[in-house]
Amino acid sequence: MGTAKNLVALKSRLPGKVIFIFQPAEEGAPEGEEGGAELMLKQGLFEKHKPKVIFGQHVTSTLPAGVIGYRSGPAMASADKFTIKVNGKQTHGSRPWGGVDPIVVSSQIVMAVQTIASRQVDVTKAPSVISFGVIEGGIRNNIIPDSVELIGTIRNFDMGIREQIHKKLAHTAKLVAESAGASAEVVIDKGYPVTVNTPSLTEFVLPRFNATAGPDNVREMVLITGAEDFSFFSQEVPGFYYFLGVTPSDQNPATAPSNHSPRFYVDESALAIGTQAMTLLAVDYLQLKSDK
Amino acid sequence: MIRHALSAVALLAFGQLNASANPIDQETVKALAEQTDPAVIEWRRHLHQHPELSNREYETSAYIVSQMKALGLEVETGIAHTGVVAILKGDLPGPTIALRADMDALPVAEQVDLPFASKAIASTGAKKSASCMPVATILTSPC
Repeated sequence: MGTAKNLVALKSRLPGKVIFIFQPAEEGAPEGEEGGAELMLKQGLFEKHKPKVIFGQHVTSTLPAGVIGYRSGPAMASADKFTIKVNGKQTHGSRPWGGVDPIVVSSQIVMAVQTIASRQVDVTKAPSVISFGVIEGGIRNNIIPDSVELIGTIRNFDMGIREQIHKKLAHTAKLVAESAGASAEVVIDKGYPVTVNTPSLTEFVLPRFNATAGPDNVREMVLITGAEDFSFFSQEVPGFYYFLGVTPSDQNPATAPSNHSPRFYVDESALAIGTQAMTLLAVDYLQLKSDK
Repeated sequence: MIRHALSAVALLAFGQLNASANPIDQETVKALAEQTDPAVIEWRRHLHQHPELSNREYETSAYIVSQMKALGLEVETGIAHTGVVAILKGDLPGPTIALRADMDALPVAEQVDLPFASKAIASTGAKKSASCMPVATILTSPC
């Protein structure tokens, strides 16, 4: 909004058009609903307006107020949800041979899946994370249940490796289950893609960040395993997504309450840097590209 | 005569190639950002106080629409349910670019004592927070 206000004041000298996208549901649409960047694109937003480039900014507790953080290339992870239903056969806990124990099979699957990220994919290409968040099954100490459900998340920075991991996860679960006479149903719910900052745009944004915040206040960031649906936009056109520190100077950004914390606090003096940065990117990009 | 005509053509061509004889510089942008900062802070505090969840950003959307219209921008609404796109056509020819901010909050009960702390109450009775908002203030997306 601040950038919009600035650019309106510059309208008579502005060479080109700016669309300000105020996007809902970045945190994820409620169950059963579509939403966010993906839906905006599906509805034809970019076909209608044909932007050449897209920029986005994100406040962060992990940097001091007024510091701009960036990363070229893959910057934020893709995020997928997976569900594995392990089907065994119920039996009394005292007679396991009377059924097929899905709890033991699930434990074996959890351990086998650890080797996908640690042993099977090329970590020099991109790191990945597979985490189980839920393991659920059974009702009583002396009954081996029929089934167990495992739910987790996959984080990745390389779209090729992401596909590999999906296949390997399903393969591992199914074959481990089969080895015990059980079966596994694997469902992968693809979430947001990798957020990739176009390297040629990195060359463009860096001098502008330096001019805005001062070179001492512009820092390269490490990979972020969180995900953003800005990635859908930056799959369509070159994009750059960067960060604005908002942690007060008397606090340690490494330990300050993070963005999703109930104690998250924004030092508002940083906001002018953010507005300036985004306005400058817009102005300079339009001026540069319209000179052709 | 021909030399004059050629210079005139060259000047004309140069004028068109150069998007503006008066390009906007960084000092101008900095001064503007400082001028608009009070408005940005006011917007931020309003949005922080009134967070809404994903796909339920009705008031947020309406607030953004009214603020953008007040700036004289053309506004499209109802995109991806509650999404808003404001459009600024500069007076000089050039390409189109997009700037993006998100608008939804998370159901986190705010524990920071601020005069503009979140007032929203979720159905569980806990106050919702704008810890993941406000995004749209400077086109930032804090989540």
